[in-house]
Amino acid sequence: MLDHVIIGQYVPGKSFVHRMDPRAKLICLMLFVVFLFISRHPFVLIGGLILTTTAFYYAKIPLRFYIKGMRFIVIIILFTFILHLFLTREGPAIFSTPIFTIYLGGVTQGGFMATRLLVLFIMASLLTLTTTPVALTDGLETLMKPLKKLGVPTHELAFMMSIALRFIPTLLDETAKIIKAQRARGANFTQGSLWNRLKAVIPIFIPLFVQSFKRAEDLATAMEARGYEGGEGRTKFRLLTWLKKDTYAVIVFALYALIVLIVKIGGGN
Amino acid sequence: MEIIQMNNVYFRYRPSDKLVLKNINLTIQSGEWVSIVGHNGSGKSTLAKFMNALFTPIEGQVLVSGLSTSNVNNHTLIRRKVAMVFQNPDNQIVGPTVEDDVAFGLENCGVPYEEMVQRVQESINKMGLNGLELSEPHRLSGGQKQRVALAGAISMNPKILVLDEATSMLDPTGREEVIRYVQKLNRDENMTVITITHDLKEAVLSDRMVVMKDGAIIGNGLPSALLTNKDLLKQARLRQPFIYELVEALTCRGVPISVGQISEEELVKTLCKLQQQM
Repeated sequence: MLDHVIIGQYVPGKSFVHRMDPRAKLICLMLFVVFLFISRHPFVLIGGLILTTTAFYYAKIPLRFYIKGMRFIVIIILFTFILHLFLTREGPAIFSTPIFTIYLGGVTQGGFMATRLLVLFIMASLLTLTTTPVALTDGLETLMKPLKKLGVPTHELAFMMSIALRFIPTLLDETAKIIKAQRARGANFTQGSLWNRLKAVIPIFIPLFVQSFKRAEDLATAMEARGYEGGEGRTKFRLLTWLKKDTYAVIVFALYALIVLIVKIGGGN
Repeated sequence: MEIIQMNNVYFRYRPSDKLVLKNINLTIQSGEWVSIVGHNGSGKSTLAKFMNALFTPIEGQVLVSGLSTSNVNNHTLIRRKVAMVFQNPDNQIVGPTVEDDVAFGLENCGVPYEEMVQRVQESINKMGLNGLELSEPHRLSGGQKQRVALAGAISMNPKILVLDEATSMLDPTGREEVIRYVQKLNRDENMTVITITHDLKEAVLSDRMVVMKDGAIIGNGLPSALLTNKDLLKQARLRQPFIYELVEALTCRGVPISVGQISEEELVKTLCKLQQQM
């Protein structure tokens, strides 16, 4: 029943993008997201499209993995497109009925926004498809390090995230077990009104929560017994290695950012 | 040499609670394998947590290689000497992969990277986990998970290994697997091993057995001596292991077998010999 739940949609591989440093990937994505939305100039979108296609090519991940995660996103994209279609009143009317009129501006605006979202989504999924959640956490921790000076508990945050990731499969197993146990007692999760089905979930979640607290306590004891005393004075077993290609990738995205800025200042929109 | 010494230890969780441990006096020698047995709620698991300063006594003292656990400044040092493996394998693995978890303790005490890699690999080899370095914990069997926990424990080069019901959630194969590796550590590396268990079959293998009831020690001696003491076992609400029952039933019928022969193999051999003589 829980098999379809995809946790971290990582697809193992050895492509260029797979082997990139997670920090580089995160920096690139951040640059991309910010500067893609900074200007409405078509150049910006075309640049984004080129970058996405290149990244897509180098990641060597079959299209079906994107489509699998796409269902929900497609609805959002379509919704955006339709909203623009009906609400933008620019340019000549191209189609009119007594109830509504569609203008050319609406089509281009909608298409523009939809492509933008699509590109953004592909880029973001590229990151999660080519990076293990663990590597992602490591990357985030090092990137957040400067925030430590401001009093942000970066080590603790990253550590919490990595423990959460470690326990997701364990908790899923547990949920499956509880569901079976409650079924054996006659609970019904698939029939009845929506309200009844929602109510049927309660006997799953309560034991799950109780167990999780127990687990948390056990884990805390085990960590203490193994000498965990917070982030101070800790060394790291997993090392991140920054290679030349990581620098190149960041340079490419930084150039994109620069171009967008120039267009923005020069073009004025 | 005494490695753990407990002198008149008393403990309760909260001042209003009743005592969980009453006047515990226990000395454990270096290199010994001591099993602590008792019924649920006898205080045996609580006792284990005193050995690496997870709990400290409200009265009396616990010395781990001469260091008192009542002094907070000793805790870091004590925890490096005493490694613990707990009951539930799922609740003590911290790392996302086997090697990450084995490295956890080393990371905590700031071992440099090169040395860490080497020690992690050594521990993994010792526990027979080669090839599983990058596996995720939830893909391992119970026995393998406990071996990961053991590997993490021994990577710290501890003097003492405490197993707090570490085999109670495993199937018989997993149990055997873990015990075999623990036995090896005790024999080959002269590691002091303390196993908390309610499985008397496991206790039979140890050098010394400590029986607990209601927070007090009611028996302390050779397993073969304590396991034939029916009064003691009844008092502690423990069931005699099958072999002991069998030997006793056989002696009752006049079969000449001494109680000293404890292992299953030896018993089978003796019985075969006897049959040939008949």
